[in-house]
Amino acid sequence: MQSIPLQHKYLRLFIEGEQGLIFCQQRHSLFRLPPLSIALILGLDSGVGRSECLNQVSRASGLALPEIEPAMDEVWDLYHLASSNSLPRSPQSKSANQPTFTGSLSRSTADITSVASSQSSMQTIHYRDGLYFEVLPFKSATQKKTLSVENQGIAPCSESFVTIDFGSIAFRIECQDSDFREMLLALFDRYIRDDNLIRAPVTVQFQIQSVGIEENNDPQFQKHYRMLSQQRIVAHEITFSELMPTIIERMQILTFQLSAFRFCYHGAALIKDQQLLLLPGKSGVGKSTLTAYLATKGYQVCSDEMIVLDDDFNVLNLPAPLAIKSGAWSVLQAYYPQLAEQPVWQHKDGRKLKYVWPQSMLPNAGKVNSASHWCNFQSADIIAPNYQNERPLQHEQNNEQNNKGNMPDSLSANFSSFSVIDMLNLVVAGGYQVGKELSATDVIDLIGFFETIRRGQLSYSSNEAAFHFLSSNTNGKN
Amino acid sequence: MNKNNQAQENSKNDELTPEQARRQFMKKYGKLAAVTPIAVTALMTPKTSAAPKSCKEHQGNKHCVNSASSGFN
Repeated sequence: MQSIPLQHKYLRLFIEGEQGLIFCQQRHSLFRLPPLSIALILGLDSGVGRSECLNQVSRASGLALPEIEPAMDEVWDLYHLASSNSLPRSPQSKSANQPTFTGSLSRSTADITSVASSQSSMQTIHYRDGLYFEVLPFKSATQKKTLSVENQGIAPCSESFVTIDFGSIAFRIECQDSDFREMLLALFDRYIRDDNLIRAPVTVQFQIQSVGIEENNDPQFQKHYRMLSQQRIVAHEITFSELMPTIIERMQILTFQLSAFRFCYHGAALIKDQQLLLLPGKSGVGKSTLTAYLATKGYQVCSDEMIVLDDDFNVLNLPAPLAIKSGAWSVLQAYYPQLAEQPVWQHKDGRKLKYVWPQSMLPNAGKVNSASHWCNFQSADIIAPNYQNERPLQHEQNNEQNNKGNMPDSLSANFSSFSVIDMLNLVVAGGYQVGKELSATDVIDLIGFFETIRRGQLSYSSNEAAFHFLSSNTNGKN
Repeated sequence: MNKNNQAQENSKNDELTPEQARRQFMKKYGKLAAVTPIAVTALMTPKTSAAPKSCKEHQGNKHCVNSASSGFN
């Protein structure tokens, strides 16, 4: 990755191969640039006007002006909005009333379109806005003081409460539904604490309430619930089977948001022999199944859903049971016999799941709980899982590494290296959060972190194949 | 860890002048423009930063198409 110094003092340009990244300091935003946009940015930065820049690029490329102008409209706004409090429209802009950003990330496309069309919205949105309300008091300058008094004022203990203590944060869940309460107690068995033994400096109080059941005599009526956190409704119209996923997701998010996190991405994080393995990606690509399998092969699971990184790129140990989707139950049954007895829950998208704990996340009974903490490591890989669902893998000649050789198909896996930009694109597509306003230093450090680790996508037709690849292709560099 | 310092050092060593980069890309992009997407894409912005969830709207997740009225915040 090359850094290109610009005259524009609020933009930072990085180039990798044929693509670029540009960081807008004023907007704390990072964009991916195709080659044409890079050339246009550099042209504008040389001080020439729009027409001259277009002509230069047209002459050099052989492209006609109409082919370049849409890209110029984007770049013009990007370049000038980065330093101005006003909203200069490009003089020949065709994008004033129609989106011209057509990138592959739908949510990002929508965002950047609104960047160009709505200055006021960008001025009022901050990374901090993504923090849950429970966390905001602790992210202020008086964090320590607030933390120290937070556990005061807890309601008296009663049988309707379940208290789960993860060390850095505890959750005190009030639930009148005895069935669900028993399920909570069973699932979080090792993390259950008496109220007077809570060690976490912060306690968040949840309430689970049934809604409207008393007035309804229809036997087909499905009981619904709502969830309150610190006495505010945070989820409603939840069915019984959605209760556990709802609570666990909120517990995970609050745990990482309360930490000193710098970046959080959707994915799993595991460690074996001081080597960190990050498995990013969108939901449904096989992360949890592979994580559960690797957990039986000596990997310590740091987290299943969220890759949380601090200032030094240590990874947060985020205790939560693994959510095993229905398609993987039979695959993992041999490794997790307890799956057969676990209740079936349901994500809000309809996918059914069961929860199991990886052994490495279970604290020893009776010992001090310090479940949530930062894990250091010597080297790291970031590998996007791509489960091929038993189809034979197509082995491409240009793949850097594969373990096909004389292996049976069940143990074959293909690894394709990714550029830093491609990896970053994939990682953010799964979801991400930045802990504070994104700075140029953050971007440089993030690029540096990605540069130093092995990056790519692993296509595999079985978990055994993925494990075999990982075991035989360890990354020795730091 | 020294990853950050190492990366910063690498970046310094790899710096091109704007003029060098401009010439390089003027030559390159003509053929590239035909085979690469022409649009700028936002990677990380305040608006798109949100707690990663297993299911989130507008994330291209095939499982999350009809979860608009789930009531989750």
